[in-house]
Amino acid sequence: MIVDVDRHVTVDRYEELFAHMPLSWRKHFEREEWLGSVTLAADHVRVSDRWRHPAANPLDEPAGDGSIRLLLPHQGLSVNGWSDQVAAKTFLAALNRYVRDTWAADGDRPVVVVSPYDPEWSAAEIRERAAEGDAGAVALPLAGPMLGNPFWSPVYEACVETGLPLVVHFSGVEGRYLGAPPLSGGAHPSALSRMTLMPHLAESTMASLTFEGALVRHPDLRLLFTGFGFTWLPSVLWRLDREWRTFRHDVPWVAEPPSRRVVESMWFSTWPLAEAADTASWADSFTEELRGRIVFGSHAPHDGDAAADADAVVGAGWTDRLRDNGLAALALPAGVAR
Amino acid sequence: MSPTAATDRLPIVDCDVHPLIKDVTSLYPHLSARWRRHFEDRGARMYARARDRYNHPNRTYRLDALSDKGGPAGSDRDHTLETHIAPFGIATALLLPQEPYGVTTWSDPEAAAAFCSGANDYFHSDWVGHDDRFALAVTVAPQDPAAAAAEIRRRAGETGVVAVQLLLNEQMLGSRWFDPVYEAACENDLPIVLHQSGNEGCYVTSQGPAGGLPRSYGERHVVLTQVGAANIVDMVVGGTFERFPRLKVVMVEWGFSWLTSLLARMDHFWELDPEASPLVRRKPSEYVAEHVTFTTQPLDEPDTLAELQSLFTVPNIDRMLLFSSDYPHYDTDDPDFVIRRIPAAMRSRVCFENAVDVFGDKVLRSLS
Repeated sequence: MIVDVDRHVTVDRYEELFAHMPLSWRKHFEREEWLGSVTLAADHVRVSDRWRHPAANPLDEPAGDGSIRLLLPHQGLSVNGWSDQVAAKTFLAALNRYVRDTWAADGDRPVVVVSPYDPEWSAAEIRERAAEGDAGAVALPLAGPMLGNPFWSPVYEACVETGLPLVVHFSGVEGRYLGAPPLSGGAHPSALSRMTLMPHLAESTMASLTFEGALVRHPDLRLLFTGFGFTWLPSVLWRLDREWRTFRHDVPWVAEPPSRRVVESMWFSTWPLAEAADTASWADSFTEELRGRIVFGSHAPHDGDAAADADAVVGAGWTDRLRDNGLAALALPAGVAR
Repeated sequence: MSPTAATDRLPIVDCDVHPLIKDVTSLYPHLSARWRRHFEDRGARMYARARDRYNHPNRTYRLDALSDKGGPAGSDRDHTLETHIAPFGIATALLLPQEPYGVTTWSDPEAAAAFCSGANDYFHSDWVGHDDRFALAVTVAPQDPAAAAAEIRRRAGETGVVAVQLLLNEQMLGSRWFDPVYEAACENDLPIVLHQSGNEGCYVTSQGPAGGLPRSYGERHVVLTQVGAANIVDMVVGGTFERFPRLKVVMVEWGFSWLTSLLARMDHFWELDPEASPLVRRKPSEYVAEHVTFTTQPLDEPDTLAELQSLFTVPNIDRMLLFSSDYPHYDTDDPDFVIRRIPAAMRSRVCFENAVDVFGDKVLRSLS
């Protein structure tokens, strides 16, 4: 049994979404360039014309043996590069229902992708999809105010109310499309630079969530950072706590070291496992508590990892640890799939 | 602060000491008549941070750096010598003037170059000429790389000049925009020093952290290190070290505990598809180990000894780490506090040997 919190599913033809759209919106989307853009959106990391991708393999086998997979329709994340923020909601609503009808199954739980442009709509979408019983998590594409901003309260309230964790995952247009969140430094035309620097999005989001008190306002919110790796965690936790000690009078609503909120409310997925292969360079910096926040995320089919690789790459016992951590992240009792 | 046995035994090269000017009039003797009139008429903005966006919750300097003689903290060279350099037996303080950081917000490249040149002249004559424990990183503005290269060549032979402090706007270090600067630096065996200017995350012409705008000063400070990391990545990907195989870069005040994960990730993605990055001809981490050094301040403050020791498990860190205090800023690292936490086996490398490797023997002028 494994718990994979980051399995991607890809729509091959956008025409397949039309059945979940009102006729007027179908007419809006029925245009050659948008339909053709499915391949652009499927290029998950949107890295460059130079970067090779393995072909996206379909989700052809059920999770089985009690395993759980969060199915992320990653094309939905790419609305953080859209200029039409209204159309994005129609697209996401259709995508969420298509994923439900196509892939939801025992152990395979869709991630509901919501709009970063309309928190009230997103909260309603979360509640509606959660009521149908198959959703496993909510994904909020990165756009707009940082996630610590009270702007997001309706989304967080809906997540807490429905018991769904919030997934944070890059779409691939960050640092690439004008208006999408920047990456660190300046402009990065290179794919290698962007992929290397993606974890900074997670760092900044964690700093925002903790320093701006979002987790004080929503203490039961659970967050899953997927696709960013995890070996950078100690460094950012030390910085969070140091700056809080220095400036805590400036953020009086943060009453305990920010790292406490991280180790109580956040989990981080493993992909890409290979970057953690030199365990001697990071293992000593990981407390037992922090190890409890690492979960398996295959990131398949985008250069995906296999759960069984964990023991070989990171060390003995990690496969079991990742499974148990994954169950905790999804608030499921050990050994119980659904 | 008080000296201890831990610091008495080894010479220390402190790679981050900020000298300040009393006020802009201090620079007038070091400016042409034209530029003197310009700054007399119009003044000079000498800070880069947008203080109406990220105002410091306390103050940016330590109170004990204020001199009885007046002026800003860090502007009295003798006070700096008496309260920071001498007590810790610091052999060399690398001076990184901070007033020139303000020129990154200026629209006039010629004014920016003139101001930096005047500041270089002032600190060279009034500080480096005053005491051989002072060494200078000459500051060059980013707006005009040809002018920056000329300034480097003009100052390179001067006693006590050991590095180039390159300021940044939107162009990252890997941009070919800076090739004239690197060419001049390599020609004169001067490393490039990159220090935060304060403009990060403030203007459309500056670099910033990932994700968006932090709300407060402290939140911004958590993620400022990202800008340093991004520029290292940019240099590797941009082929800078292939074009300038003798170039050395000193990253000051950007931290270093993030280096392990950054380089492991970069190596991993490069190995997946090396041909996608044609200017990178070997593992990215190899370039960084050969060309880049990092300073200690602000040293991370983990809770446990095991975590503290893990700071020094970064591959090759024993050859990549230089001591720095950031005097006279509010978050100055006490040399005793820091050096005692560095593993004994690498202490001499951090205190001075790595500095000699980067800056050359001339960095220990006071001991020669």
